[in-house]
Amino acid sequence: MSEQKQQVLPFYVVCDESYSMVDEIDNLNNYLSELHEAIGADPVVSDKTRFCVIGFSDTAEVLLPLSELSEVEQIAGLTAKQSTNYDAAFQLLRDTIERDVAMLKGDGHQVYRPAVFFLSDGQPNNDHWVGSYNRLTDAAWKPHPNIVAFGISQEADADTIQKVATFKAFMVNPGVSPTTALHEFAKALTKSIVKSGTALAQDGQVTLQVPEKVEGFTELKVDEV
Amino acid sequence: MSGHVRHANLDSPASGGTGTPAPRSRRTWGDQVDNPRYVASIGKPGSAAQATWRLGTEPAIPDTIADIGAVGQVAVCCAATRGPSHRFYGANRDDAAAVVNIANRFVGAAVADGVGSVERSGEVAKAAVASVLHHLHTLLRVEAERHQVNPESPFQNPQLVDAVTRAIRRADAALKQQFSSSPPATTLTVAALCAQPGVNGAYPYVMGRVGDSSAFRSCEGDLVEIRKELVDGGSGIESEIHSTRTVAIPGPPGLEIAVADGQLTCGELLLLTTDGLGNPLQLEEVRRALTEWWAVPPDLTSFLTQVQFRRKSYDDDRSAVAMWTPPALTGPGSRQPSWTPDEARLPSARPDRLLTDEQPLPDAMVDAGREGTLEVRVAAVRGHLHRRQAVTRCETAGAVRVGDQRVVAAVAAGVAVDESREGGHGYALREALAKAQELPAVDPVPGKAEPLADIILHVENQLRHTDIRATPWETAVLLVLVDTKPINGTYHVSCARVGPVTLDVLDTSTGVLQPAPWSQSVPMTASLESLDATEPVPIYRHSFMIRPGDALLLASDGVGLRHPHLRQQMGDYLAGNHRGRDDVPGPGEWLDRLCMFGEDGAHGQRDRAAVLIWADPKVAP
Repeated sequence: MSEQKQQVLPFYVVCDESYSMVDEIDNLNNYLSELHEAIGADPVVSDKTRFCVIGFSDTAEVLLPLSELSEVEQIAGLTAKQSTNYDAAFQLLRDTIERDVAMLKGDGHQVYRPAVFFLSDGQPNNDHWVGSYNRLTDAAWKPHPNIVAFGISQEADADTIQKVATFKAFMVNPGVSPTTALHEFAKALTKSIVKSGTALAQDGQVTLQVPEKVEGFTELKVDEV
Repeated sequence: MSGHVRHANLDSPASGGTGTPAPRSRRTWGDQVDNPRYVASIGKPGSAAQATWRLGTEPAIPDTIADIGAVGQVAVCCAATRGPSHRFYGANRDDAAAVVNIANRFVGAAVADGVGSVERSGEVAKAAVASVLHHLHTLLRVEAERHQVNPESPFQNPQLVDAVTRAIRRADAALKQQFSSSPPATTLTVAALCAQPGVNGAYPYVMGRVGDSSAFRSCEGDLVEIRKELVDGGSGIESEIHSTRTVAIPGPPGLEIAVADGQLTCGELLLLTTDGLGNPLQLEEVRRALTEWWAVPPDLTSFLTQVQFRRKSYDDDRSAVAMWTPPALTGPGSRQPSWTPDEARLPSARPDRLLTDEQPLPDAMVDAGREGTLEVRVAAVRGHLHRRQAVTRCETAGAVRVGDQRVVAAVAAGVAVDESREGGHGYALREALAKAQELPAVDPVPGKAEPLADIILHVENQLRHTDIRATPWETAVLLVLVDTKPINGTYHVSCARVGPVTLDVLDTSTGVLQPAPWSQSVPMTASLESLDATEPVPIYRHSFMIRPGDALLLASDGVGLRHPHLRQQMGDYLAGNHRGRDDVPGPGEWLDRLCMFGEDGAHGQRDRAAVLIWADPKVAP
């Protein structure tokens, strides 16, 4: 078993597929394809990272199970659906991370704290997500992820975006088109994966690196826990 | 929604967002994975270790340096190598390693890991290693002389501890001075090992470190990390390990140094490593493999292959210094080392030489990369004669990229070393490459190689004014500049040389290695105020074209290509007759080949250095 032992940093992209995203879903799929191309072509990064896509609207679904991007043909698959159910998203995310980390560790790998990139364009349809969110970010749960949250439309509630993030939060600037915002999000995610995959902190650990600035977005202060 | 498995794209170099990716290929790059002499894996190799390398940008820090030789009774192998990550992105090596022979009485060894991928972190690591060994040498030389005068004088371990900690503190101070404004930082581990056994037959050692580069020793068939350490704080009072520890130097006042001492008995190994090797050594499987490989000292090529074993996700630079005491018994059935102390000795370095521009060159160096449509291989190695005589290598080579547009490569060779003079070849190589990197990036005009000739003149002038005290014109230099992509189907090559070096062109359509057309060049008389030369020595220059599929071979005189039969032998090898395939040799194979080239002839004992630049025939112009 220890033959497998590698250093692994898992990335989860959690994407809003609610009806208000209908005009942008194709673009988002394209940008995720570009990300796939960039990461998949970089052997240094793809050796050390794994990637998973979860889409959510009124329910949540794993669209791409945690995989090495160099071994995947394509990762498109988001479709616009109905409303915005954060509760379903956080529940599925927690269960998925739990299962994935257990599997990686069972294979003998050294797993670093998962990184979540959360993308939403609207307000959640209710407040029922707080419980599942707290379970996801509970410090006592070992694999609790670092969450970077992006609000990608003017209608997104900055407050909510801030609350969801644990690491960094970004809110789209006024006048920036959703298309541009999505593209910049995908580029930031790619850069983050590449930098995290290649950076070595002083103690040799793999750490999450998120770009200081994301074009078209303003960084929000994230609540200290 | 997960898709089908497809092969990883292994030949697409990143270049920081600029540059054209290489064409996709199913082959792995570099040394053949099925040849265990050049490629070793422990577990899954992963994609990064098989991906294309790029050249670095720093003439003073090639991809790999290695040293091999005995000090007294102790056998030493030393290496510092770039990891798959830096190789893929074309970043420079952050690690450094070196060893010194202190009057045949002690081995001084050091490894350093530049912290973070900050600019100059490789430079500070290299400076830290040079500085600490310089000071260690100075401090221990006294002890060595005392022992020579009175071999029975009892050896005191505290003197060794004192020397090691003082050497680290002096290195810390030296770095602060050298890198004054916002210095990059480095870890540092240094060890002093007695090269002669004490009265009890044991070999005492002391290890001191700042930061987390590791040290190991063999113990009951395993490699055990040296952890039982005392912390030497600024007050000199030893105390237990605390959780706060200085992480790197230059450090704050009151530098805390972790110190450990012990002794090796017969047939044991002391190993210093940086994290790139220290991290995977936490895994039992890796320790088992290295314990098996390093039961006895390996030869140079094997040691480099073993240090660079492939394992998925472990892509950091790696450095290692391995020191073996002789075994008690060498009966039948016991594994024999690949070389004996008589065959290779580390030169006894003069301490002042350790800090000047002309630090003695290690036994070997390697560099390689794909730039545009060019494949580049660089190697230089000490010959058997100088290994036996404990003389430093006097021929060297290097290549760096200049953005994405050009490669500049050079070969330099000095006269044989004696006590009063050392060749300026190391300095000449670094300075020639650095100056060539600064040339403006304009399209070269055929016939205009003057800038390169000017650089050679500058270098030869400088040799008179530096510490090196080399007589000018005793250092041969060859400097070549090539575009990385063809223009109208051909590549411009500009070159200049002084002294005995060779530049050959391999025509792959005929398989023949031909000397480059220097006879058509214009010799330029040097206007150098020379005190020693009786007449001016010409600097030759030339520009010409090569086609896709052609190769350039820069070689020092030690390679022997002035001899027709050796030129033919090299041409046969490059054309694939003896390698069984027609593509470029990997970096490990190139070094190995250079080591063995012409071994059975009179020429075979010399140092040699060579650069191969191959224009890929498979890429459409």
